[in-house]
Amino acid sequence: MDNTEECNTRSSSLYSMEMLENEPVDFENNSSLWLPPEPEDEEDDHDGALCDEDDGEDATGEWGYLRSNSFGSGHCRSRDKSAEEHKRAMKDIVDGHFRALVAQLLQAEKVQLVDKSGKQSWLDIVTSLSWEAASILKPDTSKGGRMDPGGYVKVKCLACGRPSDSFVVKGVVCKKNVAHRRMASRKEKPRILILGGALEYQRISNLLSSFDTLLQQETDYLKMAVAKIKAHQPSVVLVEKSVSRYAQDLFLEKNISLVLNIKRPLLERISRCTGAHIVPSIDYVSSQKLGHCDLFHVEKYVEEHGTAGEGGKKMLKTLMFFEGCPKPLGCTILLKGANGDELKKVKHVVQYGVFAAYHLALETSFLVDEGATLPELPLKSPIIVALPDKPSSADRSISTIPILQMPTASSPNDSLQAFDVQTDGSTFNGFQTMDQTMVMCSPEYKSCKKLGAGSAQTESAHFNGQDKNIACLHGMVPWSSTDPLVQQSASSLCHCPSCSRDVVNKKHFEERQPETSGHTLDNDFNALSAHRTNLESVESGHLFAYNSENGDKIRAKLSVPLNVQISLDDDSSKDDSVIKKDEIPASPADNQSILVSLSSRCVW
Amino acid sequence: MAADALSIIPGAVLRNLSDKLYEKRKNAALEIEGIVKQLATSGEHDKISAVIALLTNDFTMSPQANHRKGGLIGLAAVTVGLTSEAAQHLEQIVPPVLTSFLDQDSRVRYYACEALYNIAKVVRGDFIIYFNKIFDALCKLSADSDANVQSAAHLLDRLVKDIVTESDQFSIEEFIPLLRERMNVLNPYVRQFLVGWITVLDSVPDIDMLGFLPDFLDGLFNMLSDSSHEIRQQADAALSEFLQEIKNSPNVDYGRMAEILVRRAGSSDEFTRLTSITWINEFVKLGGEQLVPYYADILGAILPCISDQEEKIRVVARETNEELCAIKADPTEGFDIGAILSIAKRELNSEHEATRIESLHWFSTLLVRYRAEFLAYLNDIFDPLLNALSDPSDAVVLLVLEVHARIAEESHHFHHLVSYLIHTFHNNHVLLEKRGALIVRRLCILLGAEKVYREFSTILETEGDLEFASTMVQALNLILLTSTELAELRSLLKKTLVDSCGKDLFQSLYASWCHSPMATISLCLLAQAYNHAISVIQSLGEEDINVKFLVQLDKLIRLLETPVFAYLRLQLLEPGKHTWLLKTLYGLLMLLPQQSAAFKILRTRLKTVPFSENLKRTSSTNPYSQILQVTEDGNRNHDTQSYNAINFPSRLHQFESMQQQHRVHLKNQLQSQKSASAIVLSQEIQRYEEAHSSSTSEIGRPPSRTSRGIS
Repeated sequence: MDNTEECNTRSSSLYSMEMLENEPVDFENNSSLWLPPEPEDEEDDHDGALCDEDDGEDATGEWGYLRSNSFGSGHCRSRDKSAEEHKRAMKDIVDGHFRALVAQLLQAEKVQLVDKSGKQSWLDIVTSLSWEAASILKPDTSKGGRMDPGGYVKVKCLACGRPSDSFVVKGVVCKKNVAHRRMASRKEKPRILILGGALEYQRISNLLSSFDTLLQQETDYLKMAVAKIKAHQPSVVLVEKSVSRYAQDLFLEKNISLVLNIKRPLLERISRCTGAHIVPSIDYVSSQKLGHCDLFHVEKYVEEHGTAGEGGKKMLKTLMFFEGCPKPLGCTILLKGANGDELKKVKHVVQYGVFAAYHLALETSFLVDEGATLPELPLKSPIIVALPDKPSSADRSISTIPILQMPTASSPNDSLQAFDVQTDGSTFNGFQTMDQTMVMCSPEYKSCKKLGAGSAQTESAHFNGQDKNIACLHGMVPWSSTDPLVQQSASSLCHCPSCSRDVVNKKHFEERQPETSGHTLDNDFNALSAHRTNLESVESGHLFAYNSENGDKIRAKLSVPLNVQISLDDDSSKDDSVIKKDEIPASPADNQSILVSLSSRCVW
Repeated sequence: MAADALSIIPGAVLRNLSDKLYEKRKNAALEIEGIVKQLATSGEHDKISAVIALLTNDFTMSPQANHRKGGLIGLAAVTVGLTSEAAQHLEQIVPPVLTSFLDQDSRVRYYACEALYNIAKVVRGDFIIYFNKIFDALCKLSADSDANVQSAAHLLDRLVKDIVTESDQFSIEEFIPLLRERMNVLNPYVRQFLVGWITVLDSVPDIDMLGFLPDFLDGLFNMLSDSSHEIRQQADAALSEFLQEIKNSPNVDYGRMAEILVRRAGSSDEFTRLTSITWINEFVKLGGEQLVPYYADILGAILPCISDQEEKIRVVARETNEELCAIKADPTEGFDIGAILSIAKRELNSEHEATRIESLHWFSTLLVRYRAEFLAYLNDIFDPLLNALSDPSDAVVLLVLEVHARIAEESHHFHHLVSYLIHTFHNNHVLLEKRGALIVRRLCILLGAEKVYREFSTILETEGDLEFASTMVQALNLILLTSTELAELRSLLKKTLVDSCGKDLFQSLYASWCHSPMATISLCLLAQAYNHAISVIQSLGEEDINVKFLVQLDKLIRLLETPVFAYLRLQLLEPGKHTWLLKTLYGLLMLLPQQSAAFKILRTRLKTVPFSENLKRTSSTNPYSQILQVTEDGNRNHDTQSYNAINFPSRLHQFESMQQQHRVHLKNQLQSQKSASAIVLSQEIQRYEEAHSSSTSEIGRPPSRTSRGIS
């Protein structure tokens, strides 16, 4: 098996050389690379299935498939396990951060985290309500809808019951009532018809009416109109404007619940959630334009805790519910258990909370899609991260700081590990460490850009990511005209420090344009200097040793010719005791991972 | 202003606006609408105001009817032209239209309705500020003399209702006083209009008409007695709807409505009474604590309805009464027992028997549940309860006796009761004659005969009015001798000579029975104290034997023939053993005039005694020695027993003392009539003969009384 792997490695190396020489040939080679061996199919499917469950998108499955194919079976298994654990860990961290955010918001509004009885926690309630609402929500931007979740989630306050009675309604809740006391105020599986305008005869405000004609024709017209509506068998009729009382009585006779004088925005919201079309007049009514939901009902609540702004006076509040709407384009949060003034404050917190929860969910999904993982030292990382949070909380969003800090902290740790491994002299461990470093750099690079920008818009992030990838590819191409081996090693070193700062990245890209190898070397050393500033916890002795070690690597590579290096590889298969020979085989593997990442990005 | 308006609107348009043809006026109005629309678009509101002023001053206030019609449709057109900006000009537009509702020309009133209709449909909710005036106008127009105006008002009214029910600006609190003020109007059209508004407002879920129901409930009830069937029906439908809402609503002001319902339950109109009693029935079921303070008033409404001439009302009233009675109210929670008793007392004077009976049931129930509180009010209710003893209905008398019996469970109350009875009988001889027996017998059942008779005797012993005392004792004695209910008492008295209880009872009764010689004698016969009986007879003086005495003696002789004295007649089979009985009977015989019927009856009875046969046997063998032996034995045993048990000489003395008082009393009376003494004697004889006649008529009484007693 080992021999087989080595052979594969060599052929891959050869193929990569050819790809660099000729672009059309590169694509062909990529195709051949993607042909999976049979034993690896099961693992690929497994990974793909996980992706589907998480994201529900086919594209992500393809991503998982491609990524898993790029490594050997052993590496694949190891990666899968760590991926699952990392997802769980990431979710826990996100939840914790969100909870901290909510707590801060509640304190800002001067709301007690725990209510007077001490048994119910607004913190817990707001957190769970926000997550639930955010999970229900799936705005449809393809039809011109807005991205802001605030437009899809409404918060209603009821000054009765207990805080834990608060709940999320998958649909619309509004302060309306049926038109007549004896109209049914509860309908299961209702057929909903929405009528824009009014239902009256010659009561159009821009026409002068004559009583002579009105007296004769009004009732006949209204009977006809109601009969036309009735033909489509709606059980609930919503009307934007007024409905003549005579018509109301007709609806009552036909057991149709009627709600009138509904403002356009609310009508559109109900339309969006139930799927009912807003027809401009009875001439356009059709059965295909009726909406649906699980339950329509009207409830009356006595607000025993006192309503807002009325001196705590107990009021009777009537709410109308459209529950169980088929489209995930809106939901309503009902807050209970306090007086009106306090509920208003909690409402503000909930509105922020839903916004944050929704976008955190998007960010988490995005990070998972990009294969981002957390460091393997969970115990130490939080401690390190916690310290910088406090002084900077006033300036930055809490939800973004921890994630930003994690990659920064992880790099020096990984470097230290690499250094230790080098000292141990284990080839396999060294290879794995290098691989992890490269894998983590790529997604972190993107996530840093996105989080650094402070933008919550996914599209913007995607666009920026694409630009970065294109820039990388562009930067790579000119180097191939010179010494390819030297160029590749230089870029591998450049990736590590570029994670730490945008400024360094910019300089790096600018300086790639010149083709002077001397400049390249100078930049590398500058990067190392910048890198050094982040190693706050590393002792000066280690820093010096690390630096000298890197210098030695570079010199060794520069001094050896290409042909001689290849022959040395052949020799290394025979004798493992020579140190220099051990160093040489690592280089080809490193090149392989770089090439694979680039090809993956091309596909994406 | 006028000059400006004239320059804005062409003269031809203004001329058409005052044309007698509606079509031309409408076309002119449409022109004005267009002009105003342009002015509104360019924001020239001053010119619009000028146009409105022109239409108001020169047209709606014109002496010519066609001009006024033109002004109205013109104002409507202005409003239509303004559309969403009409609100700011309403202050100018609406008042002239409202004034036109009072126009003397019905056609102008008609077009005023049309104009306001158009104005209202443009501005809708914005004209709510004029609602009170519009409502007032509609109220009048609904009763307009012209049918077309009524129809137009009806159409306008429907629009106003729609606008009001959909508007947030409408204030129900401001509307209710307006409604209440008009609820007493008698005009049927106005009533129909008002009920229509009540029904519409109530049908809107978010308008709490129920909360204001007390304000117009009385008005609705007033309409139940309207002469129009349609209005009665509409009012009834509205009330039914409200009653249904009350059943579903937790918050209702039961108190204010209860007052109205109570008042209406006494209405002369049958339908009103039925509806109100139905509501009261539901209130009693639903009212809970809120209704407790009104229980007395409710009872006051229910009790008369129990005797209503209408069957349905009686049924509901009876059901309600039972519901009310079943409620376990607590005086500490506002339940006013005094008020309830006051109502029950008032209804005790009702002319209807059923109502009086239910009143007594309430007395009884309250006495059982709240005895202490009840007795605290006894001073106020005792007299009415006593008066009830004179009720024509036996059922009522029996019930009131039950109440009295419960009250009399305490000894001092018992004493009061008997004292009151004696006092009442003293003042009302008719009551004693008609109800005396019923009352005494019922009390004996309820409280125990012995207890009752002892109390009567105790009180009568010291009665100052000797004549009344004698009369009362005779009545009690007659009841004692004839009532089935008192059989146990008679059994006890029979054992006087051998039982200490009987002895005590005998002595207790004897103390007041002394007032009447005949009562005393009959008591001795009951007690089988025959020796004492003959002593009493022999102690009678010449002046004791008068007409009254003879009449009573006559009655007693007849009573001796009744089953009560069957034992006495059987004892005659052994004359030797009951020598004193024979003496007593012969003594009575001797007192009777020979020509009287009683004399013949008693003599016939004595002839049947087998005494002669005994005498014959004695004479045939050894007459003297045997007679003496028997006599001595009988005398010895009898005297020994009597003397040991009862001090009869003392009793005889007691009797003689009492009779002496009666003699002195009688002598005093006679002396006052000294000059007419001879006539008195003659009259006494005549009176006796008359009494004899009445005695003859009473021959049939004992059997019927006895048979009744048996049954």
